[in-house]
Order: sequence, then structure tokens, then C-alpha cells
Amino acid sequence: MLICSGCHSQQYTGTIFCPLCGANCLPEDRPRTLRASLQIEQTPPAALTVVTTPLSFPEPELRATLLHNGRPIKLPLHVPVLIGRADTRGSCYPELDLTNDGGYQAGVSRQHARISNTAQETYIEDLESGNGTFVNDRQVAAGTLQRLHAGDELRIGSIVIRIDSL
Amino acid sequence: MSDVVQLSVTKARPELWVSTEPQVVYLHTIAQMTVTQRPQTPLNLCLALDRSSSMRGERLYQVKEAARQVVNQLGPRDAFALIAFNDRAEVIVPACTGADHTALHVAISSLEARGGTEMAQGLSLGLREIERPRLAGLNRLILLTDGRTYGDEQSCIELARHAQRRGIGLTAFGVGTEWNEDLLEMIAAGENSRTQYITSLDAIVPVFEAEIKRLRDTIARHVELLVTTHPTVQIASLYRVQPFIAPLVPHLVNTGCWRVPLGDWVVGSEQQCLIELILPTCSPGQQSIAKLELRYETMGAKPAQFATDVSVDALALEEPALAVEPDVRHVLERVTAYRLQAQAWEAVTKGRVAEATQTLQQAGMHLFNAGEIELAQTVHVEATRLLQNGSASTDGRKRIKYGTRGLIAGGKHADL
Repeated sequence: MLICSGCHSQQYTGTIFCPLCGANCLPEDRPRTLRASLQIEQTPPAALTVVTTPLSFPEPELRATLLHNGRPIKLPLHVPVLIGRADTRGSCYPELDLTNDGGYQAGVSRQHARISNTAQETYIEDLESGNGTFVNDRQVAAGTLQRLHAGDELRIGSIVIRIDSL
Repeated sequence: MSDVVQLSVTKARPELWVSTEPQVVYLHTIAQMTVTQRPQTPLNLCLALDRSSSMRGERLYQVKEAARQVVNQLGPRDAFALIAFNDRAEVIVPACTGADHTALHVAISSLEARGGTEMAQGLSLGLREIERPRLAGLNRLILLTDGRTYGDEQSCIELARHAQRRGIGLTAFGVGTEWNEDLLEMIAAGENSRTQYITSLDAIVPVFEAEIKRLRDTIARHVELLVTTHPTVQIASLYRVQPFIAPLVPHLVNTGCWRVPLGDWVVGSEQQCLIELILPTCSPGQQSIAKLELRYETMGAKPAQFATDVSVDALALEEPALAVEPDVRHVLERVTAYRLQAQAWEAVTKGRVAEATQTLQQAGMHLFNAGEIELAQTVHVEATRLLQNGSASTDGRKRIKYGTRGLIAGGKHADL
């Protein structure tokens, strides 16, 4: 048996790269660092140091309120949020399902709009809905991304949603 | 068309350790086929094209042009069908043979982009069309999407498995940055399927042309590797390394014998695998490690089954040479990079960002050692982004995933 120089796990004799961490287990090879290996001397060394303690990052999330019935909404934004009405026959399950908020009567399409989040910003996109998507009374053209900010009011069909925080 | 297949095996180290403890043995297998004539396999082809609103403009223009080029490559023995899907799927061209190319071009020109993406509907209708003609050739559904399908992912996977079990291969192309690479990877995980990232709009037409040529050049199918070892020997891991890097699933046939399906075989490509075995104990002297057998069925009017085998032996010494065979190290370095990036993305989905960052950095180091500088730098950038923001960019993730899959693409015998 041998001890992996990377993760200190026990590995079988003959192991070339550790199956757990990928470290080189060959005795003749000296370990190399990523920064040196990539010949990046100026930037950014701090980001590339080995992390020994787990870091936690706040998950991006959307908090909003449906103005006509006061329903609060809290949705994670690490995946795109589909806004629409559930359709079990068509396998459509929107993350923000407006069926029970009077969505059909309010003209909400099954796949009405989509909110997506990049590293820095949150956007809404109309999915060629029948009655359109509006941000602060301005229509979002289908196929374009409209950036969202806290305080914006979205209109999905005739349902108004206020963005409380992003 | 006569063919000669050579199966060779290289061990990472020529000798074994005399030991009462388990040891790892790496085997790199290469199967090459020499042919005197290209096969010109007839095709039963169905294109299932995404026409959701995000395809509007240059993207759909290029896809339509690619479909026209596919039509131009059709011969009288080929069958062709065209499905377009958004929220709904529609048969644009029902399965037909020997159709007038001009009529097909007109049908392709009628495609317009609108609506959302529901891939399962397109797959379902495409498979219905492809099952209509009864041809002796190769059944293939080529799917192209640029969007993320919602709620029907599991249906897509089930449809793909159903098709693969019935001998219908799938080619899944993703274009742009919004599509779900995990889903396309799952769809194409069958032995006779593949997935590809089309990184620019200019590449759409050549990628389709190359795919038709590749299908036409399919010389054998139902290719499988049989690995027979002593019952106490374990398979620790098994990877395909060419035509692309991907994990393989061995099926236990009986004690000490595994069957590994490899799918179709295209002229000019090699079937390469990396097998990691764990030997329990080893006495001094010559030792039998494994017997490998490659089986395949040739294409054509009269399919025939062939097999070729090779035995793997090694001398066990108290102090064997430690040096690693360079060709095997070349493969191991790249497979390790592929494996590490896959581990990193899995850690990301479980919220273990720090672990994912470290694993991705380690993948980058292997890529650098392998001389893949550009990809190593992409990995470095995404590892930094992951550490700082908790997520990688969608484009970077795709480039790394598909870049590492293709690290050993194109063999010494790529040109016939």
C-alpha cells in the first residue's frame, strides 16, 4: 500500500494517480502547483491556494409578492425559474406556478416567462407568451433579456408581482 | 470489403510486484481495423431540430443550411425524416426514401422559430418516424437543441434508452450556452450514441456534414470487449478513451468474465479502452493477468460476427521497474483530467464548492501536464470563478466537459 501525497488516503501498490484526488503517486515525480504549472506569476495567487476549510456561499434567491393576493414567493435562483401554469399532460411544471393564483383567468401562459441568474445579475425573458410580460409597465420583447432589480413590478398576464429582493 | 482487426494491449508497467497485498494494474487496449473499401452504409435518418424562439436568426439559418446539406448527401437507399419541435413537435417531412431533394429543401425552408423547448415531444415523434422504414442500414436520430427543456428530462432519457435498446442510435448536438449538457450526456450515454458541443454558429454545417460521413463510414456494430480474469481480480475502473473519453459499464457474464458494450465502429477510428484491475496477491514468476476478446458484427447486406482475442501476462519480481510506459501515462493523464472534472461538477451540484474547486484545480494540473494548455487555462478560470462566485459559467462548464471528452480524439489511423 502507499499513502497519497495529496489526500493522504491509502492506495494500492502500483497506483499512478490517486483515484480520490487525482494526485500523482509516482515516487519519481515531484508534486507541482497549478499556479506554477500554468505559468501565471502575476494573478491571481490568492484564488488558487488550496482551500482547507469548507467555504459557504449564499445561494442566490428571489423574494417577491403577488400584489393581488399578497402571496409571498421565495425561489432559489441557482437554476432558471420558469413562470407559468402547471400542465401535467404536457409535462410542464413551472417553478413559479400561478395556477392557484387565478393564472388561467389572468391570461398566464403555461410557459410564460423565465427568470435566470448569472454570477452578477438577474434577468427575465418572455417565452412568447400569449399576453406578454411587462417590467414596470414596459413590455419585454420575446427573445430578449430584461435585467431585474429589487423593487421592479412584473406583470405576467394581468398578475402583478413585486420583486422584494434578489 | 475485407477487414483485418488487430487487438493490442499495453501495460502501464511491464512487471508486477511479488506481494501478498493487492496491487493495481493498468491496461491500455487498442483495436484497429484495416479496410480496403469504405462501407457506404445506408442510413435511416431522422433530424429532430429545436425551433424554439431562441433559435431565431443566424442560428436557425445555419441549422436549415445544415439540414439542406444532409439532404444533398442522401442516396437512393437512405430514408429521411424531419421533425421540428418547440412546445409541440411537428412532422415536417415524414419518413421517406428517394424523395425529391428540391421538395425536401422547400420543407426545410418553411421552418420558423417560436415558442419554448419541450424536447421529449420532438424525441417521441422522431422515434416514431424512424421506426417506420425497415432498412438494413443504420438507424440514427440526430437531435439539435439550444435550450433547456423543462419538466420532461426524465421522459427524454427514457425515450433515448427505449430507442437505444431497439438499435436506434442518437446524436445529440448542443448549440449556444443555455442547453442542458447533463441531460444530453445522459441521453447519449447509450453505447451507440454520442453528444457534441457545437461551439460556434459557423461550425453547425460542417458538424452535420461530418456526422453524416461518420455514420456512412460505420463499418461494424454491436462491438464489445470481453474481459476474462481470475475470479479474485476486480475491475476498479473502465474507460473508453477513443473515439472519446467516457466511463464504460461492464456487465458480469459469469464469474471472472465481464462484457463491455462499445457500440458502433467507424472506419479510421480506433477502439481504445483503459482498464484498471486490482490483483489480490502475486507470487514470483510469470503470471496470467487477463484474456481480452473483441467481438463485433460487420455492416452490410450480409452481417457477420467476428472475434479476436489476446492474453495478457506479466513477470512478477521482488523489485520491478517503476517507470510507466509513456503511451499509457499519456492516456491516464487525460482520463484522470476527465474523471476529476466530472467529480468537480458533481460536487458543485451537492453544494460542496470548496471540494469542487480543488478537484477542478487538480484536473487543470493534469491538463497542463498533458500539454493541453488552452483547456487547462479554461479550467483555471472556471476554478477561480467557482471559488469566488460559487458557480462556473455555463459556457466554461460545457467547454471543459466536452473538451476533456475529446482529449484523445483522432487516432494514428484517422485518415484511411
